[in-house]
Amino acid sequence: MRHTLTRRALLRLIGLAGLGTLLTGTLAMRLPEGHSTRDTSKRDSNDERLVVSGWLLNTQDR
Amino acid sequence: MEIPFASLGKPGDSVDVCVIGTGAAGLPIAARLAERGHRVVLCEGGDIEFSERSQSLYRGTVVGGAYVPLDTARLRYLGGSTNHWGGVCRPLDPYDFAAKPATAETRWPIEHSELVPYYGEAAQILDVLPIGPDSELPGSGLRRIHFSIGESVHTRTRYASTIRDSPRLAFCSAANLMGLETRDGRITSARFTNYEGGVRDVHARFYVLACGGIENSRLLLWSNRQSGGRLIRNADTLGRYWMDHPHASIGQALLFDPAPLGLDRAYDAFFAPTPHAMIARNILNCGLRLHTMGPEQNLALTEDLTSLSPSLKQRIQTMQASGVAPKGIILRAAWEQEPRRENRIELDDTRLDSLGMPRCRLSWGYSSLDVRTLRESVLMLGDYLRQTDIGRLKLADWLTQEPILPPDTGELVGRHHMGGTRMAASASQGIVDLDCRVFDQDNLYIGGSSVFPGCGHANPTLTIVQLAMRMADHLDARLLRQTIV
Ligand SMILES: Cc1cc2nc3c(=O)[nH]c(=O)nc-3n(C[C@H](O)[C@H](O)[C@H](O)COP(=O)(O)OP(=O)(O)OC[C@H]3O[C@@H](n4cnc5c(N)ncnc54)[C@H](O)[C@@H]3O)c2cc1C
Repeated sequence: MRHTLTRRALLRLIGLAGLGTLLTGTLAMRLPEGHSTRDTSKRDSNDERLVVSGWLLNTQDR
Repeated sequence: MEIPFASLGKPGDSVDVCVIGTGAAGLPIAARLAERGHRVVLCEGGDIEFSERSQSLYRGTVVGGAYVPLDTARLRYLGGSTNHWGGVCRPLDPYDFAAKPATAETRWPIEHSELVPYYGEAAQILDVLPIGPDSELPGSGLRRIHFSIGESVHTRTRYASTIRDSPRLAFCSAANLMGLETRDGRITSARFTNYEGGVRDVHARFYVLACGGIENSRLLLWSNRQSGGRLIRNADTLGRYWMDHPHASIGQALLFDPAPLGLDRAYDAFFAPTPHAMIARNILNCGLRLHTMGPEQNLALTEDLTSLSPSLKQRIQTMQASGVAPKGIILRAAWEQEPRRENRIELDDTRLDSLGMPRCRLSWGYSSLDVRTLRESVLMLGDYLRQTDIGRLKLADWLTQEPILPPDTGELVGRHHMGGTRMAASASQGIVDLDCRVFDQDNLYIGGSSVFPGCGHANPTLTIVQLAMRMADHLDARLLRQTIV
């Protein structure tokens, strides 16, 4: 009984997702560090995105 | 009214509809049909309360990508997974029903407008709060969207009095569906077993299988095998095109001006690409979830950004001098998964459950489109923030790697089990027709998100209940027609 209730509570909380092996589909989605990438679908075709330590910056931020 | 297992399928019983499963799909259908005067038998494989003997039947294996254990991703007792769902609701977008340029497989054979008449009833059943209209975030390719985040309704509670009192609804627990008998394109009986080895056959005019987004496929695969392939003659897509909504933490943002995102007033805000942006960027739908972060995290994020950018440091210092601090945001996403043949449910003949049925084996993983959908959506938000100078976005580490491999720990998925018995215009493309009727069987219907051909990014249960109400109307009309004839 005790076991069941604990388990049920756990199931409700559910955050404890399982681990497992990960072999996902692949596509090289480059966001190269320190490079600027022209984003052609933007309103301003001169817009440049700078990726630094994961931050998406404007060139003038640096 | 509740009946014991021994009374199930008694000779001479005339049953209009046998509904199997008591979750978000099964119970509303059964209750609605009983309300309309039809005789319904409602069978639940689990017990009234949680039990290990029932829950253990949900164990299975997953191959491919990281997923949650199958017996923790759903509940198997009266009320099904509504006993632990989160109550987050939003209807699918009209564009979710279309073939998208990125893949035509997302196309539903019915229009969004087919479900609109059932929105009110479904919203009432699930206590859905009013959901505001989408509004475009000018120039971003994104629209602000809304969810109903209220109390989560458990079907067992919502329909407690129907189960107890309705003279036309006979409810039986611990009645596990084990197979469907078919003759000349009609189901002639459904076989149930309890945990003590008892077996009962139920004969009804119509059958509704509503055992959840994994079991619907598993039970049909098993029954089809037992029938020698006569249940579903073209079973090519059975169990396939299975989907969940991937969930992940995708980064953080620092906002200099939270007002344009609506975060000056709210703790959370939600965004998704516009249909136009989905077309232009060749991606699927994606829900971006923005949550305000605590003060310590906010400070750390501010320091992180100012250490990289002297000009932003100066700007933030000026802001702070006038008593305004930038606002830190935690970013999460839940997005539409590409319907692919490879993601599928199969019978695992190497592992049988305690009732003797092969357990489920789920093959699941991301496609390049799944990854691109997320990446493009988060870039849209990041670019909007820096171009309008509202703020700056920082990608989670895993999104800056090459190739991008979604995380194998954490939230992973929504536990929204969709596809496997998809709705289609013809038997070569799916398992059920536009009325959710199994193509080769005149009287077998499927309830639940296993019929979704495409899944948008919205949580599925509201759509499940809309479809359930639509099916109840359809069956009601068929039963009335037959009675008149
Ligand atoms: C942790 C968690 C959180 C969630 N949060 C949300 C959310 O916020 N919003 C949202 O929209 N959705 C959410 N969901 C998904 C939601 O729970 C499902 O969409 C919904 O419950 C599906 O309804 P269903 O009737 O198709 O299946 P279920 O609710 O799973 O019901 C299936 C029923 O069939 C029974 N059954 C199974 N096998 C047999 C058998 N052989 N014989 C007889 N009976 C059987 C089961 O016991 C159960 O009663 C969440 C799910 C989980 C796990």
